[in-house]
Amino acid sequence: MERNGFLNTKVEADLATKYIQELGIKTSSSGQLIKQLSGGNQQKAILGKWLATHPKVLLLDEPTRGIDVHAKSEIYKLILQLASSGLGIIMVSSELPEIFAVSDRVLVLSEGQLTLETGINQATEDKLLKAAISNK
Amino acid sequence: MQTTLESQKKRLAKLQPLIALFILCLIIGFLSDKFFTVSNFWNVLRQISVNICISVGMTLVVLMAGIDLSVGSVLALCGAVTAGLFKMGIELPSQNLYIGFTLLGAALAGVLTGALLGFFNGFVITRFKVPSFVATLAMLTVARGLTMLWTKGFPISGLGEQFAYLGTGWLVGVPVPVWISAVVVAVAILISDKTKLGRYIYAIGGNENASLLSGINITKVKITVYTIAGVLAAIGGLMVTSRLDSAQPNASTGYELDSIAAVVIGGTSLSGGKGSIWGTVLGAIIIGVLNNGLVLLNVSPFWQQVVKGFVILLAVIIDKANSKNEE
Repeated sequence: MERNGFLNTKVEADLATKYIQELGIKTSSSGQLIKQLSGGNQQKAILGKWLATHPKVLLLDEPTRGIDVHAKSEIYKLILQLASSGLGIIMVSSELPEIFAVSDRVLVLSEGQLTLETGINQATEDKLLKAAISNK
Repeated sequence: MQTTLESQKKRLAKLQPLIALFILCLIIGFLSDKFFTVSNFWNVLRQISVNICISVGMTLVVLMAGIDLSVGSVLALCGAVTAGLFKMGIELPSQNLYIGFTLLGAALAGVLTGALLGFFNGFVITRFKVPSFVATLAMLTVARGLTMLWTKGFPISGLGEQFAYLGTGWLVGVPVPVWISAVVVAVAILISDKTKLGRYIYAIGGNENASLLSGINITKVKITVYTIAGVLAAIGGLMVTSRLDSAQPNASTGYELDSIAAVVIGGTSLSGGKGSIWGTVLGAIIIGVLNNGLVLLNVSPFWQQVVKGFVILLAVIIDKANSKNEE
């Protein structure tokens, strides 16, 4: 995208278009300001920026907070898709259904301590909540 | 449909300074028959080329949400350094040493001085977290004092025809200072729109914390930009000194305000992140045309200051109204 400090605006625009299509971002054009998009689309745009750096691990902190149900399910779909393509994803969440929907392994923290580590198949809502409120 | 209307509105907002300039020219041209003459055209451009030079540097600084108040003094010091070295060289009687300077050598020394002072600004601002307003205010005083020390308070005059070419000469039918400022503008537009550095400058002005967290070396970018501002002030200093055939110790006081005015009238936001070099060029031209028009109309120079003040206010008020529409 850049050589000797000079930008290649063609590559830049192509990359923007690519992620708009891949992530299904609803926008009038790639020139639109991100802050003028809807909440879910803002989130997806940011995700696109990160993916453009080709990370090996992706950290998501409450990726679905404050966005509507439809956008949420799209983000979940995206997370699952990315994970199955080999990307390691660490997601922080305080929503139980969301955790069951996307994770393989769950770590529960309570007051800064790791209180539970379990595969998603062994996990139940009960277990997770108990671990979350216990302070060892 | 709505979005195209919005983008049209935005385009219109971008054209505002151009429309203002156009109307201004029409009014002045209507009131004075000397305005639309070729000699006056070059005259205005020659007069504003120094301000354009400084203002381009100022724009880069303001885009990062900073400000550089020291440009006027830096300009004076660099002009004086060049003039002094060219005319008298350096004499060290204790070592029985004399170093003479060619014109090119003296000019380079002047530009280097500007770079050093700019670098110092950037260093103080980033290393000690001094607000740019304060750091460059200090530099304003320091550089002015150094100018007085260097010149001992007297103008350095009589620099010869070769040196005068820079400020008064013509090249292919265009005044040399206009060439210089055109090159400066072209390079600055290239930097701001087409390079990584330019992107970083906008990013830092938009949100410094976010820029830091996305891995931008803020210290490096800031020091670079303040150094560029210093260099451009020095180039302005060369032009002023050459034009007057004399380095005045109290030259260009208040130039920082003219350049801030050009930046603001050109639509660059003082809170950073928004604006363009092109806008600043228009801003400088508007100020230049306004000054020129008031002179042609025989208005007292004191009134010129009053008018300029109100134009700046008006520009900011219009800008505020525009950005409110955006949201």
